[in-house]
Amino acid sequence: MITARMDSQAEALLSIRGLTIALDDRPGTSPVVQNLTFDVREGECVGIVGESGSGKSLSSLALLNMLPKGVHISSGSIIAAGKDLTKANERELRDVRGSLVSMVFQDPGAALNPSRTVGKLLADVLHAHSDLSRESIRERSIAVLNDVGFPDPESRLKSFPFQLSGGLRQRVAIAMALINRPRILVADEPTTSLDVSVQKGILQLIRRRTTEDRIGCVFVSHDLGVIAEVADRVVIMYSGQVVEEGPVANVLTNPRHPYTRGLIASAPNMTSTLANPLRPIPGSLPSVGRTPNGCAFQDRCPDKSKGQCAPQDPSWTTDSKNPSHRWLCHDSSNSRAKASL
Amino acid sequence: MKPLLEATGIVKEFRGRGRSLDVLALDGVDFSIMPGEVVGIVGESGSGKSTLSRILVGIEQATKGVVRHNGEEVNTPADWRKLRFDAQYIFQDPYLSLAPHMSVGQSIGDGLEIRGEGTPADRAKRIATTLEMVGLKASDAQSYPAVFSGGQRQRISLARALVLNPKVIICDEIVSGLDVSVQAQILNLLVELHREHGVGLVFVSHDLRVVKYLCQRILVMHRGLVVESNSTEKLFSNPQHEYTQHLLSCVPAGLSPSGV
Repeated sequence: MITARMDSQAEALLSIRGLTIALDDRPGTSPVVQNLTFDVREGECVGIVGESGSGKSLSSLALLNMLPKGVHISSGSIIAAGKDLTKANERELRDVRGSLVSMVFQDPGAALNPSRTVGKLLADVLHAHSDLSRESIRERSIAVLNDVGFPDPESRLKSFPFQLSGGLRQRVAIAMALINRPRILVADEPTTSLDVSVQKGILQLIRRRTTEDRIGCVFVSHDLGVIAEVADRVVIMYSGQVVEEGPVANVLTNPRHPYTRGLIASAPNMTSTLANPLRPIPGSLPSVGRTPNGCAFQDRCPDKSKGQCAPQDPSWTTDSKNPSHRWLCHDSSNSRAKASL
Repeated sequence: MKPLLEATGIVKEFRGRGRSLDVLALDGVDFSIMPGEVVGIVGESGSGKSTLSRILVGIEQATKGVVRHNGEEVNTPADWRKLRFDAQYIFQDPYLSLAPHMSVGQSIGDGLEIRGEGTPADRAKRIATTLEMVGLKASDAQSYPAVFSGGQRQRISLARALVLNPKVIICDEIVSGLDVSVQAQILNLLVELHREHGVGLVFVSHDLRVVKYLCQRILVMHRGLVVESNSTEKLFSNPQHEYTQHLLSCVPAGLSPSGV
């Protein structure tokens, strides 16, 4: 069913090509995000998975050209609806943010201005991009709150964020992101600070809006279980690089890169038991700028003996049965059957 | 056999200050753990799971109710000190729970020093063996917390609890802030400590997948009450309470790789 949604004919709303993010003060060290390339199509949700330090959050911020001080985009392009956002100036970016491309952050408590009511927060976003009457702002606000499953919106327009629960705050943040009908929604760990029962509702909401409004969604998460529920395709990042990508069902049930396999084997799911213990990935992430020559994962790889991990960089291998599933490993024969021996 | 720790009829009320309302965090909760048992407490935010775990070691005082240690009521400060010889507590955030100005060895040895156990040389030896037990190097005792990652700091916290040879360790969301690969390292370490040293665990978590993996018995908490308590197997195969059923239905099932 997931693969059925994968409509390869549909045009890409967002095309990221060779995006590289480097540190300002250390030229010459390896970049923090390297050569990121993927597409997001209409009605499709692409999950980005990685651990802390993998570059997944920086990548999502770069999509709106909102990188923090100290890092910059050094090469590559981000084409959203025909525009290259890496070349846009600050004024053009203001038009894009919240209108063409919107973002939802991890902590809705920090993302909402505490001194503005729900009604004013939504009106601010509308004002920034259009010239609507007070009446139509109110109508649009109530409509979008209904869309995001916010109970009793008319009377809650006057509520302040602190009067709402975490789940409702995140719904307001999503409503703000959707009110200008963006083509692309970027969500960075939007459910990580929420309880599981609230998480489920938010995931369903993002999934429904993506499908019904035909938007493209980039969903960043560390949780493979969450990605399996919300995404159509998944991009696995390690140490600033994409190491594997493909349809969620293929990547999670038939992972090819040793890092993806390690990630799956170390995450408890509802079937894990002590009889079949978790298998952690040994060691830790190489520190920023100190990625080894060749494959970034070589020092932690259980299959190191099987390939020529250094000094050449690994190249992409494509699944012959499923060309959209590819992985970055020297061991081109790498298959699950072989790894489980 | 008597329970190692037992809490009966625990009520905890937090008094609101100014205009904020009083909060009834626990509304009559019973809890017990036998020596060597691994018990999980799950619930969502505000369910009272952390408050209950804190009351068990006296970090928080119950408004009503009794805590028993080896069958005897715990009342005086001396009773609590005796209880803490058997029960140690580990906090969620390893960046806040280790004193930044103390070396790892000092932090771990603090408890031994307070109890006046052994000579400084004995203590150094015990610190070294405990560090090795949690997968760190004996030489790490000289370093300061700042040079360690989150996962390593949580190992240090664990060493700090273990060095006192507790019968039970109370873990409040200790893997929540860690990456999955590091989380798996810590969980496997806890399993090993339980198997090889017979340490009991009270494992407080919001993550049902983690609790299911680790615990023999689970209490489900909701709004200050234990709504269901059962062996892990029965709780997951046949949840009785509506809330437990709801909670289980919300866990992202994920896709498991075929044949793994």
